[in-house]
Amino acid sequence: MFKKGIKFAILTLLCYLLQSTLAQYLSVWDVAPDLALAIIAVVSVALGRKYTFFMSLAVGYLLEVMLPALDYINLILYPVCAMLGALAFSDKSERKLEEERSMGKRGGNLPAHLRTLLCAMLSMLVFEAVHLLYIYLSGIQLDFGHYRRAIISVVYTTLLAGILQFPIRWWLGIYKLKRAR
Amino acid sequence: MRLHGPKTERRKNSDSRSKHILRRVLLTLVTLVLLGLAGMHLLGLITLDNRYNIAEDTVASVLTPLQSGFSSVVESVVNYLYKLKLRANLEIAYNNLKQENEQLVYQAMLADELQKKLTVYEDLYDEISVNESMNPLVATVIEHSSGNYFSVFTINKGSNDGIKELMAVTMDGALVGYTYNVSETKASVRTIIDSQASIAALISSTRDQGTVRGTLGVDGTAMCRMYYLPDDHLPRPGDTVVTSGVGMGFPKGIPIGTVRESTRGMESNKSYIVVEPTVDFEHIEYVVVLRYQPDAEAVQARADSSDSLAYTPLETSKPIPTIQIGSDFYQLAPTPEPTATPTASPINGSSLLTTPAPSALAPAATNGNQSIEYQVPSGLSTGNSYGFTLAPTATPTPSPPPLDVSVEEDQ
Repeated sequence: MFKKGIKFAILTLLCYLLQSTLAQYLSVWDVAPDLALAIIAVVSVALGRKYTFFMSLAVGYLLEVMLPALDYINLILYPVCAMLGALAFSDKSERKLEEERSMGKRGGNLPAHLRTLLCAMLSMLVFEAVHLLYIYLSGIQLDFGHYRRAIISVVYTTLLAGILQFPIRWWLGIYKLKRAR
Repeated sequence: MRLHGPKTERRKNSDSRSKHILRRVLLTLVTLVLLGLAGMHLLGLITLDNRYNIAEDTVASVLTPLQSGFSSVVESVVNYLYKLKLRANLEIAYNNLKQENEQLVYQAMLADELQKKLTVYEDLYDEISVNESMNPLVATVIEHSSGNYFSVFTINKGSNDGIKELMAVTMDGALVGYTYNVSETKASVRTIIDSQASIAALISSTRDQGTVRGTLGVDGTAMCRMYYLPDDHLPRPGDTVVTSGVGMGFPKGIPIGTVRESTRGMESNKSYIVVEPTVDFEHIEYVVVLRYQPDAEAVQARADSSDSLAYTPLETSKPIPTIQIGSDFYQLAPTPEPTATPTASPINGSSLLTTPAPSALAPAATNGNQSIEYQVPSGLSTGNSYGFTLAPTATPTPSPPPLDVSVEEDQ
């Protein structure tokens, strides 16, 4: 348990550090990806909602403290977006699966790698939508450039989550668990 | 299979329950800590009270050195990758520029070559156009002799193109040599620097005639010597030597070269002057063959004109023998008729009677015997690709003036 906790704490710290230092260098067409949400999406599928909440809250808090672009926004938005993604695409509980089976449904989870991509995409969609809404409410007329940047950001972050999930899941020992089954 | 007793089972259940409780407590603590930090931050933002920023300051003081270290590592990695990318781009740019430079050098060389060819063609065109009456033909040199004693080369035109032996070959408005050993498709050209070449020539300023021979086989230099000049004239260095048209079927007036030095020995038959050829024999690519051949009448007229020393009796009561050295001694054309018939005009019993001089400085060609003279292309008279200067006038003024000697008989 402690080993897992330490790994999780390191991953949380790394998530914040990568987002604050490396993300700007990975810009494509002047759009930087959200590495933090990509890693949180991987954790959502790999470790579950509880760890998603801790990680998103910690990263949001650190970003809010260290990189205060807008008041409250990082602190609130990261947990909200991450939890939305986790609610939709993390592993379903046994009770939920049994309930689905009793209703005559297949009662299973989608492949974890696919769920990671979907989770990252959903989180980023909410994140970008809130930002666009905030900009719109500030009195700025939204144009194609705003939407283009939002779409590039969503797609780029989703792709990064798809790439990062393999080393992170390996590091957390998810593949070992799968072999053990 | 080992069977566990009820005590062991109870202990196991107790450990599991305590771990579960510990996990719950830890999770609750972490959640409380995180929520507490977030709450303090929000309170600090709302109330603007610095007391709530203690936690933030603590977190920042811990994270700042960690973040700066991580940032420097990331920056160094990014810079290294950027340098690699820059080096790759530089290498690509260098290769592209190198390739472009090679293409430009090749194009420049090609343009230079074409420019030279164009200059040669322009010179050839000028030469052909001004000497159209001599039936010129452009030929390409296809073979050079590499000997040290003979200077001959082969051209790609032969008897099928109307070339015969002993036809004048020119380049850039100057004499190169003459044809020999003509076959159907090719002909050999012996240049004027070959020691076997012998061409009748004259010095354009003094009209002194002689024979030009090459010196390649004599002293190994690409020069000419002019023999059999009159003893009473000493040519000046720089005088132009041209063909005289005597002997071979050469047109008259083709520039051969310029007088470089006068080297006269004690014996008259060994007195010669050194003539520097106008043509650059090291760079002969194209030549013009003058397929001019004097007809029989012209040759006869030329032969007759050389006998201009003739006694001419005057139609006077006291005839005076007149020895007239014709001014056209060197010319192809016959002596022009005097414009006026000389009449007897005794002056005080003893006076010199003058014979009218020929009116024409350069006798024009007549129908019976054509005197075609080589015209130096105008473009070449000011300077050509080989940097020589030709005689400014193609038709030389007869020099010396006609000498009339009249002897009056005693009454």
